[in-house]
Amino acid sequence: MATVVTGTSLMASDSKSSTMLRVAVRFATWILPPQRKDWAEAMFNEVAYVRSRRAALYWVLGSTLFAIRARASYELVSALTFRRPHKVLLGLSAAAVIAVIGIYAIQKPYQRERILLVVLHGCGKSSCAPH
Amino acid sequence: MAALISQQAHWQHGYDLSEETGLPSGTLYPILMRLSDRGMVESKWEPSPHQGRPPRKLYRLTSEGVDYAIEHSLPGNVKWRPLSPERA
Repeated sequence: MATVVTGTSLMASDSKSSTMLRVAVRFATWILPPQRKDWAEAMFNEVAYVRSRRAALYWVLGSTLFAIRARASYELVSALTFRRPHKVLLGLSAAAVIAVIGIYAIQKPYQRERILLVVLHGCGKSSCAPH
Repeated sequence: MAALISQQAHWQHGYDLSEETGLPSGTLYPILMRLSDRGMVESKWEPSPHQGRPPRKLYRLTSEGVDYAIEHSLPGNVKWRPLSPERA
């Protein structure tokens, strides 16, 4: 291809953006699921042929985000299918409890009182109420 | 898929496809992977003619992919339509 190739020089130079680019490439290649390593190589080899510095940075950014997305969905699928589902459920429950406590903690005092009243009122309607 | 079908006999690079379709790498490659998983796109490695540059992967539609693309690009088979200016 007889086009101007800046990607190669971008990857080879010692500037801050080149370092970031190389780190992103290594990270994305490492994070991609094992069966997709070949695709990671294909994606990042293209950087050497990208025509502008800006486009090369966007290319790497897009590829890195895709790698993270692919890994997340791979982990989720493998956790739900191959590993013990009760561990996943436990983890999700713990995350939900932490989220609720966090939301409660950032409320103003009068809002906390109101939340407590609503919860206690709800309990009163159900079996929580003292007989 | 339209970009691939426009040059169905020719192998194309990922970056060229991205430029032709306007899709960023993070959108284009998942599509290529899914098409490849379904046997609609085939790929091969090409060593770079320039010294010091990495090899590139080339892509093209398989016969199954061409059939699928033709079938789904016929006007009667297109399910999605852009809004007309009056309705937009």
